[in-house]
This record gives sequence, structure tokens and C-alpha cells, in this order.
Amino acid sequence: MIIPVRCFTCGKVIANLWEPYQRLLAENVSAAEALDQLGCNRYCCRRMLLTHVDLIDNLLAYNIHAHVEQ
Amino acid sequence: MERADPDQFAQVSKYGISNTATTSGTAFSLSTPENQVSEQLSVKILSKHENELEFELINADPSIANALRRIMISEVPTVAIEKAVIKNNTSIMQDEVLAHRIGLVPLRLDPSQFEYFATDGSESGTELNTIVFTLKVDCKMENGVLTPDNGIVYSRDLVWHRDESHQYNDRLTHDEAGNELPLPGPVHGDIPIMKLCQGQSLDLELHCVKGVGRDHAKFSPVGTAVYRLQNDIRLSKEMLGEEKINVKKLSGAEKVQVKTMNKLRHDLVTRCPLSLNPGTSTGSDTSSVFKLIETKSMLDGDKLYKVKLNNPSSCTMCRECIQDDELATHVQLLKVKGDYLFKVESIGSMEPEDIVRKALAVLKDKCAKVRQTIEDNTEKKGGAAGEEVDDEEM
Repeated sequence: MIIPVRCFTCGKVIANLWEPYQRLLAENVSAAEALDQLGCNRYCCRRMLLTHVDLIDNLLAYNIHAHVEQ
Repeated sequence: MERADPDQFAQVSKYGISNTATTSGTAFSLSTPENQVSEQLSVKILSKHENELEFELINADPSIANALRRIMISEVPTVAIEKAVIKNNTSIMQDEVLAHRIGLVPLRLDPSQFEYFATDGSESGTELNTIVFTLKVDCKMENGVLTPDNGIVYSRDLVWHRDESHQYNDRLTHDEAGNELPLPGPVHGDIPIMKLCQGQSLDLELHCVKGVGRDHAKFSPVGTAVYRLQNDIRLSKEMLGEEKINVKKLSGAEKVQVKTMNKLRHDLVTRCPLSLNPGTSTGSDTSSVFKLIETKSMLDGDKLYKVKLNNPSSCTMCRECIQDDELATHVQLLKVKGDYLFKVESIGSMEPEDIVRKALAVLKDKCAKVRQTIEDNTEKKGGAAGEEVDDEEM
């Protein structure tokens, strides 16, 4: 749903790399190169970013609180 | 090639690794007298980049090296969020999932300033065993702009709840010399904790305590702490090709031999995935294991080469170079027993060298405890036989 805070396997904090990673991908940097630039070297941490599907925006579309302040 | 000493080296061969057992009587055995151990044991720091420390532990017993690694992972204390009081959570994430997520955020707090919180419920939180953070975010649309930006709540929104009635706040804001420290907070401010929509809000009170990685991975001070044995790669004299050859004086048979060796050298370097291949851009100069070096001599129009062992410690022991039987007679892949390359990656709450130091202190305490237990029990043995051994967890 939202990027996990840490790598499941080794415990490295990876959540703070998600936004820079998305920015690099938007600049047409390849995924491998982007991960290298972010210092994500082990394959356990790489898969965390590489395979993450950020679904939170889809879920936020169903907001029961939206009308409260309108 | 000459066989390597099985007491000192483990041999990596085509199908597996042999001579792995540590036999007593070698330089790094536990049976070595104490004064000799301290003479032979050494630590060499190889590199340090930000939170990553690499060092070499030489002449240690495998049990010691592994104990050090395991203690770094699971028994060096840190402070992490343990209890979350959720006053309000109208986000799309369930309370328990959110609490778990926040718990994993590493905090910049010195664990030596804290006492352990008794787990048996006999004690309530005091300012010496607990530190409180708050997280209060309301997501609003103001003049067409969503606050917080994009609705994302970051770890930097965790605020230390400073209670002025506490006596010991100074220990968190000033170091021993009286210099001001940055306020207690998360190590990384840019961890997205939650994404909110207009009208949703979070209001949490977070209680942090001191703990060890054995209880929960969030207390572990390291990303990874790993070691591997140092490599030793040996090449035969013919393969190195350092002997000078007078091309003109070679007989026919010798010429054939020189040519085969020259081809084998090419073969070795091209097979190695970590080699800097001549003419291609693959492999960096420092990480390449072998290097092909051009010599001035030529034979029948072909250049002759020699091989240099460039950086054997970067070898991953993929065994590609010993798959070919002929090459395998010229290359020996060895692991140096008792020579460990450690890599400690701190999560950021303390310096990696501090983690190693603290882990050694824990190990020392454990040894002292075992020794004490043995001494106590041998003393008692005269009177009450079969007295129960202190079964405190080791």
C-alpha cells in the first residue's frame, strides 16, 4: 500500500529512498542505475523498491472524511 | 601447484569447499594461551563511509567472530518506539498497522542515557526509562492548497514531548561537556509514515523505551552486520608469467608451451566476471581480481602477456576460473581461516564503531557471567551436590 519503512530482510531504512527513486525514474534513469545512485546495493533492499506498488492513492479516493470540511 | 596448508586455509574447488574444520592447535584456536592470543589477534580498519564500517579481524576463533556478529545484530541496545497511544486515527490505515510502521522509525537517542523498562509490569514509565514523542497532523485544504504538502506525514513530524517538570531533560539536550545536542528525534526526517486526505487526521502519543534486537528487529542498531573469510588466490608460476623468456632461443616444443600458457592467461582473465578485460569497459580497476599485463616480447606476431593478482579480496568465489580442468591446475582459490572481513552498517542511531565496541563489551559481560557461574557452582559443590545452576538466560 505505502512503501515499507525498512527492508524486510536486512532492516535497512528504505522508505526515505522511495521519493528520490520515483524522481530518478521520472528523469528516465534506469531502475538499476537509480538504485545504485541511492546506495541501495543489496538485492534484498533493491527488491523492496523495485517491486513496490504504491496503491495508497487509489485507496485515498474512497475518503469518507472528505465532506466533513466542505 | 603446491598444496596449501589445510590448517590455515580452506580450499575452494570445483564442487564444494574442503578443509573447513578448525582444528585445535592452530594460531587462532581457543586452546592458544591467553598471552599469545592477544599478541596474534589484530583488527585492521579497512574503510568507513558514513554509516558503513569495514574491518578485518585477524587470528580469531570462528566462535568469537560469530558471537560478535550476533551480538551486534541482537544484543546491543537502542531506543525505539514501543507503545503508541492512539487518540485519533481517521487515516485509511488501521491503528495496529500504523503503530507497527511508526515503531520501525529509527530514533536518534543515546541508549546509555536510558534505563531498561521492566517487562514484568512491576514498574510504570519514568523519565529515565521512557521518552515520549507526539504526532499530531490534521490534513486540511486551505485556499486550494493541501496541508501537509500532498497529504504526506513524514517522520520529521514526530515531536519530542518535553515535560518541563522532568529533572533530567538536560541529559537529552546537552552532552557531557555541556554542548547543545540536536533535539531528540528520528534519524531520518524524510520517511513517509502515512498519506492523508482532506479531513483526515492523526493524533498519537508515542512512548519509546530501550530494548535489544532479540525482542524486536526495530531495536537492532545495524542494517546488517556480516563477515566473510578473507580470500587468498594463488596462481602458478607459469600462469603469472614473470620469468623472462628469450623468444629467439625457444625450441619448437617450448614455443607451443609458451603459446598455450599465453592463451590460458587470456582465458583466466576473460572468464573472471570481476576482471578488467583489455579492450572492454567491464569491471573497475580496483575491484578486478586479475589483470592482464602486456609484456614487450612477441612470439610469431602474438603479444605475450603476464597475469597480475590485482585485488584478490574482491573475488566472490564464483569458481568460474576453476571450471576448466586445465586452468584449475594453475589457480588455487583459498579462504584464510581465522581472517574475517566484517561489514557493519549502522541504522544511523549510533556510529558503527560504537556498535562494535558495545558488542565487545556485551560479549565480555557474558564471559564474566559464565565464569562467575562456574566459580560459584564449583565452590558450592562440596556441600550441596546437584544444586541448581543459575539458569539466567545467557
